[in-house]
Amino acid sequence: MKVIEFVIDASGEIKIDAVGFKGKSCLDATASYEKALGARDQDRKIKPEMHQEAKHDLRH
Amino acid sequence: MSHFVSVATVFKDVGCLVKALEHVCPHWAVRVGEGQVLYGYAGDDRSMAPRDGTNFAPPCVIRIDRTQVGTAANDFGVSRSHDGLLTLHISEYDQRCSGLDEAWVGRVKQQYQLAVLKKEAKRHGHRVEHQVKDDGRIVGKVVVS
Repeated sequence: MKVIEFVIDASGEIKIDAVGFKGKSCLDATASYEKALGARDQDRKIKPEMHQEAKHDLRH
Repeated sequence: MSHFVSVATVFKDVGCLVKALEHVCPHWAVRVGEGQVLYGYAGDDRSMAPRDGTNFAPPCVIRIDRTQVGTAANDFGVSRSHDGLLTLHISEYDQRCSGLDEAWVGRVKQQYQLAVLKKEAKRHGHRVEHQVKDDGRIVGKVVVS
């Protein structure tokens, strides 16, 4: 299942985490949400496994 | 496979902010419209107050009448700047004495973020599930497929 998990803390800061997507498709899935929330490029943190899958995909 | 994004609240959607205010203060009648003047407890026009003072407030797009905010309170309002960002205008008195303190602003920000997520999810045909935890956090997910 593809989901965007979120946690909004008491100060209003929100963390969103795209789960279940392959490779960089997670970026596409969350892009409009990030824009609506006012996120900037520097707010995004790529988890290490995404880089690993990207390398893996290139080998194929 | 995932990435994560952490975002501080940036108010820019009037409709979502109205929903947030109506959720946090359901007894308030939220007035929406351009150019609304905020008045102080004595009926003074806050747009005429010294600009560097804490009671100054420009004309607003959201206004809550002071009689709903509290005893001896001032109007509460939200203005929109030229870049589209929204700013809350809470007098120093109401921050201290009417409950519109930092924790209250946090609750408004929480509900605003949730309203933004729901609005975006509806646009995409996605489903939002959420719950409020004992520590006050709102935890949930947008089901994409």
